[in-house]
Amino acid sequence: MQPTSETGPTTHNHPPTADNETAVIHLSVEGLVNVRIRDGAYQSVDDAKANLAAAVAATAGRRRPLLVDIRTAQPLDAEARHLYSGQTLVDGFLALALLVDSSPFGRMMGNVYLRIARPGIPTQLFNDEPRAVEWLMKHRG
Amino acid sequence: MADEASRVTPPEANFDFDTDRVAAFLRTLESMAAGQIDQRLPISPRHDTLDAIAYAINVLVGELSWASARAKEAQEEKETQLRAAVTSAEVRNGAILKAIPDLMFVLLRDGTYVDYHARDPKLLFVPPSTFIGRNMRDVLPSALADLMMDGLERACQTDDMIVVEYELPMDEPRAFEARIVQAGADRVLSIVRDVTESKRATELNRDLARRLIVRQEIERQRIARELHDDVSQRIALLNIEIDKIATQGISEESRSRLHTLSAQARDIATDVHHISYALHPSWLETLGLVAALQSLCRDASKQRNLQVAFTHNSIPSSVDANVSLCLYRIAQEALHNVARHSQVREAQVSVTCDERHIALQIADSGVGFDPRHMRSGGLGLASIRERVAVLKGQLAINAVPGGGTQITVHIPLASEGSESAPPLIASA
Repeated sequence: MQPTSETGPTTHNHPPTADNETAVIHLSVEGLVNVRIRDGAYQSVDDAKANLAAAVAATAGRRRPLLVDIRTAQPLDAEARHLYSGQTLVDGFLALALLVDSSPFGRMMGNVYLRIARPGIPTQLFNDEPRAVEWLMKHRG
Repeated sequence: MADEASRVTPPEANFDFDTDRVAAFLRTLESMAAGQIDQRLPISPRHDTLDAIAYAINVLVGELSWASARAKEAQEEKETQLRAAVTSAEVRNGAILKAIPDLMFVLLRDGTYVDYHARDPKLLFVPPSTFIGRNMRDVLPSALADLMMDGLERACQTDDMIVVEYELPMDEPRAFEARIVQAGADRVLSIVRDVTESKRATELNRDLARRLIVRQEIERQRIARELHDDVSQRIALLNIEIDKIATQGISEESRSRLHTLSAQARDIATDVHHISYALHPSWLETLGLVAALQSLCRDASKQRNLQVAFTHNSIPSSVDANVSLCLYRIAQEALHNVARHSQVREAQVSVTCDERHIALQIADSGVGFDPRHMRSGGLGLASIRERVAVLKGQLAINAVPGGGTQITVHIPLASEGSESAPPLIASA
C-alpha cells in the first residue's frame, strides 16, 4: 500500500475487507470506503470488477463516500474506466475522492477520469489525502 | 459533481526528454496512425510530461476503440434481433402459407409473374417453370388475360381489393375467384381460390329451391282446380237443390230457412272461389300480369282492410309466365306481410319495365324492421329471395325500424333470362 502524505485528517482503517490482486479495500472508522490500488498494478476488466464488488461489499449495504488511491497505479483501459464510473458506483457510493500523483501524468490520469468517465456522483481529484478525507467527510450523508 | 474544480496542485511541466524515448514515442505513434490501433504509446516510470502526452493519446485511442467496439456490439445485437425477427416471421408466414389452400401470385403491374405459392401444385394451370418471369398474356388464354390485366390495373389504382371471377379449362372446367390487392409499388398480390365446389353447391341449392317452388305451384294448381271443378260445382248443385225445394209446397218458416241456407251456400262458394284464385291466379294466364296484380290489390283492399294503390308503366302485353308468376307471388307475400306486421293500412304496389328488366316494388310506411335482425326462419322473405334467385333477378329490402319497408325486385325479361332460368310453371 502506498504511504500517504499526513498533513491533516486521514482514515483509520478496520482490517482490510478485501485483499485483492490489484487493490486493498478497507472500511474506515469514519465510514469511508478506501480502495488503494497496489503499487504499479495494472487492472484488467476482471480486476476492476473484483475491486468494485469488494468496495460495494465494504459499504455493508449503505451508500458511503469512497476514496480511491491511484497515485501509483498503471493507467486504466477504456473498458475498466467505464466500469468504474457506471451505475454500480452511483448505487453504492455518495462521493468519490481520487488521490492522484502530483506529476503531469497523475494529473492527466485524474482529469481523464473526470472528463471522460464522468462519474454520476460528486467527484474531486486530490494529491493530499487529509484534504481528500476532509472533503469526503462532508458527504457522509 | 464531476465538473467541480480539481484541487490538484498543477506541477511544473518537464520537457527534458532523451532522444531515444522521443524516437520510440514517434515510432509507435506512426504505427498507430498507420492503423495499428491496438498499440499503446510507452509510458515510463518517470510519469513526466511526455508520459502525460502518451497517456492522453492512449486514452483517446482507447476511447475510440471502446466506442467502436460498443457500436459494433450494438450493431451485431441489432442484426441478431433482426435475424431472429425475420426467422420468426418466416416460420410464421410459412405456417400461414401452409395452412392456406389458396394459390398466391405476386405480379408486376405489367402482368409479369414474379413469385407464387401453391400448397397443391396440381391446382396450377401450368407448371411454375412456364410462368415465373413471364407475362400473363403469354400464359393465360387471351380473354382471361384481358380480364386479369384489367383487374390488376384497377388494383394498382385503388387501395380496395378487386375480385375477378373466371373459369379455366383444366381436367374439367373449374371456377376460380382471384382477389387482387396492391403489394408495394408497381406490384400486386393475387390470391386465387378454387370456387368450383362452392359454385356447384350454390347451383344445387338453387336447383333444389326451384324444384320446391315448382312442386308447390303444381300442388297449388291441383288444389285450385279441385276447388273450382269439384267443390264449387257441388256447392252450386246444392244451391240449385235448395232453391228447387224452396219452390215446392212447404211452410213459410221452412222456405225462409231454406233461403238462409241458400245464401250461406253462395257465401261458401264465393270463399272457395277466392281460395282457389289465390292458390292459382287464372287471370295471370288469361288477362296478364297487370290485371292479375290489379285484382290482387283490389282483393287485399277488400279482404285485408288495406288501401292498396297500384300503378303500372310500360308493361308489355305478354310477359313470360315464369316472370309473371314470380312477381305475382312476391306481391302476394309482401301484401300479406304489410297486413300482418306493418301496423298501417296503406300500401303502394308498382310495376314498371325497361328494355332489360321488369321491376316490382311494394312499399308501406309502417313500423319497418331491422334487416340485420331478420329471422332466418321467416319463410315469407326466404321464399321471395329464392324465387328471385331462380330467375337470376335482384332483390333489395330497404327497411328501417319506424321508417317503413320497401321491397324492390328486378327480374330480367324472359328473352334474357329464359336460357338460364328453368320453367317454374310445369304443365300439370
